[in-house]
Amino acid sequence: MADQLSLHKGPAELEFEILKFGLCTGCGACLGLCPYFKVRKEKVVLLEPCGKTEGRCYEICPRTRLDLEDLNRKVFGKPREDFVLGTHRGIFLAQSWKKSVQAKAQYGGAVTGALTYALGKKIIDGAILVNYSKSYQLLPEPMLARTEKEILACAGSKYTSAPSLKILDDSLKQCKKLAFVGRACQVEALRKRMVLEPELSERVPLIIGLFCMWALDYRKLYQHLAGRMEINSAKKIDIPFNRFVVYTAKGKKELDFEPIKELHKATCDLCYDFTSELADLSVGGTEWKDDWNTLIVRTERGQEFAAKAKKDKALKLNEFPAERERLLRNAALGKKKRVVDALFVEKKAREYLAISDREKDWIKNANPIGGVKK
Amino acid sequence: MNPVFLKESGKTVLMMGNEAIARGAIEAGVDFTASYPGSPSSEIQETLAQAAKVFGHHAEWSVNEKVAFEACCGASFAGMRSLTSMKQNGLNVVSDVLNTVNLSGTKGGIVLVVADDPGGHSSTNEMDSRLHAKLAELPLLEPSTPAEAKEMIKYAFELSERVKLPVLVRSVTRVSHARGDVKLGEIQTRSRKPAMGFLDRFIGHPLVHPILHLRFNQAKAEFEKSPFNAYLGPENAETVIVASGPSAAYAIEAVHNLGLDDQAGVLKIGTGWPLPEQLVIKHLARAKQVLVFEEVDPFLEDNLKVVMAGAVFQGIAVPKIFGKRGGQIKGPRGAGIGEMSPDIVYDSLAGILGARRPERSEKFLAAGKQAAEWKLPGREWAFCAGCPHRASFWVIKTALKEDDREGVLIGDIGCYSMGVSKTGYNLSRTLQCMGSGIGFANGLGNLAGFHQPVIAIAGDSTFFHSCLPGLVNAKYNGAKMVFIVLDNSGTAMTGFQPHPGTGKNALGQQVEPVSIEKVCAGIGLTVQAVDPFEFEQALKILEDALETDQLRVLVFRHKCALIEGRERKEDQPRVIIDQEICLGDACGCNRFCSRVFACPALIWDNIKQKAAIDEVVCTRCGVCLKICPKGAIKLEQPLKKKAAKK
Repeated sequence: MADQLSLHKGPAELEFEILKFGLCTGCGACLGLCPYFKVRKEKVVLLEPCGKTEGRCYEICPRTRLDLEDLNRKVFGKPREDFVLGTHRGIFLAQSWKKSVQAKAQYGGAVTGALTYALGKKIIDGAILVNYSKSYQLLPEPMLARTEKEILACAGSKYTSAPSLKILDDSLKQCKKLAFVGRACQVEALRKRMVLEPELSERVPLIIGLFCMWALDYRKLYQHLAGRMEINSAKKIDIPFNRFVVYTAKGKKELDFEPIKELHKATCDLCYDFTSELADLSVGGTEWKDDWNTLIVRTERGQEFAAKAKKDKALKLNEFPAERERLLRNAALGKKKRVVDALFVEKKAREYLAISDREKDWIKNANPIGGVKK
Repeated sequence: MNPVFLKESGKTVLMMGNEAIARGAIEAGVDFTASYPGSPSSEIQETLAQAAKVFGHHAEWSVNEKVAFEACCGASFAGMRSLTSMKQNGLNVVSDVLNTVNLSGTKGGIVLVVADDPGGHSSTNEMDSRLHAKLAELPLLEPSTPAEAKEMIKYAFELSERVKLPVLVRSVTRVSHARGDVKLGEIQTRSRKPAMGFLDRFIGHPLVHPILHLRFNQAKAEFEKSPFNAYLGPENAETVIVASGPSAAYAIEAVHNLGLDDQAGVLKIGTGWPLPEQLVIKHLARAKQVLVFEEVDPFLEDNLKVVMAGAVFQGIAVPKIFGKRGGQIKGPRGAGIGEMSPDIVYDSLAGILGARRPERSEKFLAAGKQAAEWKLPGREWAFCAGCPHRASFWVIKTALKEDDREGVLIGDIGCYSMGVSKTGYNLSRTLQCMGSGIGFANGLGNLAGFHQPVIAIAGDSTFFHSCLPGLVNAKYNGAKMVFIVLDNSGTAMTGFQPHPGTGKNALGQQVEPVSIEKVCAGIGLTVQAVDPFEFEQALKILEDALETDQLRVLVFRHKCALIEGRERKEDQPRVIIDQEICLGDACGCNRFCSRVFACPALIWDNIKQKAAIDEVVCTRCGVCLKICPKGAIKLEQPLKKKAAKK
């Protein structure tokens, strides 16, 4: 296995370059592989270096070298064309047909709707999702959902960095076909791992990436909230249109969002991938219509699935207005420009993100207002 | 019956030094014994506890040495004979009261046996206890053999009653743990009746300091004629060797084997303090050179030099005194460090006197060579297989890492002292004396600007020994820490002596156990007990406690593997490695079970290149089932179920 590794580094470097540098995204990819990595409250630590000089842990980390060109070719069979939204086959407004799903889920319930459909059609027999912890307030924890009820229980966005890839290996022992839902960093890690283990692609036939500007640092968020509200009764967080709302046993509590934004993980500022460009399907809000999602269909597999789900009346897919696409592109481009600008001062970032010079220059020069420069 | 308890006076019995000490107390008709265990002293009280059923004296394991000695003082105040035994560290715990009861004086014979551990085989120091005798101005005896130890104990009781002071007897490992012929003496029938008369008052105060000096000089006068001091060799020898304890035996042997019988004399000193000055001057007055052998400090040497400096007034010339101060007599690690040994005595004598050490015989060398070829496997300093401390340290290691604030673990004294080494994942930052851990944590946990979480640990016996004041102080002064009592249900390191939490006393009788949780709750502390073998549960409880940034007490409770091993039923399923599942070195775990978790029962099979279980040492505790990332470690299916499956 080791001969497939290309970076020739191991856990000691992962600890020094990534964990100690605050660059860990908390994706969880290294956790399920190995007994030396541990996580608590979304902080990943190395118990001690295992003594091996090379390892998959380093190879698949989304913050070690991320060759987007190469991964594009492996996932889509072609080079990158759209530098802003990534390779895709279509953008839609999406909504679950089921009212029960809509009621529980964020916005249009596209993810939950897609998963319950996939489970019902036996495309998958389990999904790696995130549910709130029973032990700790507002802490999302990875969960393998194997029934519709369990999928519904996991509905709704979580805003901190649940390490859900932690349970991938264990879930593979329990299920034949899995869906994975996660942030861009997690999808990147999963795709990197699929390079090493191509057979994994068949075992995870549905990867749904979530739009993600950043994830909040759970430990910092908890401290922030604990000083400002009755944290013990907190049940759920929502961030609707730039407002920060905590649902408690007694009702809603709204807090000033600006200082909370500052509690996001530093590593998220180095993320180039707002729309989860390596997923089969990418899903986010619309920043426009509360009961709809934005859905980007990327892979052939994703396209087939979306078409079936539409046909079987699991998902409503409507045309995505050009005006909204421009705004979506602006959001994605803005993040990319910030990262590309940072690449020239942040040495670590440059080592991690490998994109073509053409792409880098294009992003630097692109105009974020009123569309993109050719 | 234990031969140590035989009533056949005159019979010679082979016994351990510590048994001989106990026998001495029995022959002296001891009434009251109280001790706290500690190597190399523990067998003294163990023997006396067994003997209590035969001879009817009181025997207890006290919570600590100070309480033990004070209890003995109490017995003495009522006119009874009492004996306490301890290791050198224990004498420090006693030293407060030792330096007042010397002034007040005692009544019934009271003997304090301190067994020193030169070289620190099982101690955190190699302190020379004799200095305490000097500090407290109390008489001190130093036996050199088990037989002499027994006689000295009997004498110590008599001396104590004559001078009305506690008498110290300093043993060392090579007396306490050596075995030798001991001639049994008459056992004095116990007939004393305890009473405190109107004038029995024991007030420690500087006003009575002159009385102490009178008593001290009375002891010194007795020592001038003591049979425990002896001179062997030619009259007026130019070379005199002065030695005490086992060093005296080494010296006598070495002088003979080096063929120096006609030139050198040996002055064996058994009454270490106060030194019998006239006896010393008598034997050293004509000597040209003097060599001093003793363990550990140059105690005898210094005192000799003081005596000889005083002898100048009698017109006596001071001979050359070779010893540790001048560095002429030293072990491999330097002068005044480590045990004395026959080799050091031989080499020093040969070097200073120019004598030639006799060659080893061919037969001896051949036997030595053969023994070297056996290649005994090296053994690491490690927790036993199945030891609950390994699980506790594993949980603590994981918690401190996951907490990610560079938390520190403050250690204490017990088997878990090995937490400073690899077997405890090098976690413990301190290793000092009993009860010190929570004390240090009181400082760290109340230090402004110190943001690293603090965990202090102590065993169950250590908890009762000396942790309570520290715990109350932490509560009172608001020190932030997680205090973990590693409760393995016994004083494991010293041989499973019972303590207040075990529900048994020194005689093996059931007593109401003192609950650690209730004690803590009584202090007003939040306390939670968990089995460290339940990794996930223990980890969560510890991490939650750390995150409170408050004082929390946890009890990690799991029986010592040695106790559990004895209680294990034959049909307890074996722990096995599923050879299909263990990937060996192909697994990325890099021998996680045998190399990292490192229970001695988890080994590496060099032939199969996979993990294996050493069934000889495996206790079948099954904790390692939770360690293997592949789940290759399993419990063997019980035989019945296996058959049913087929």
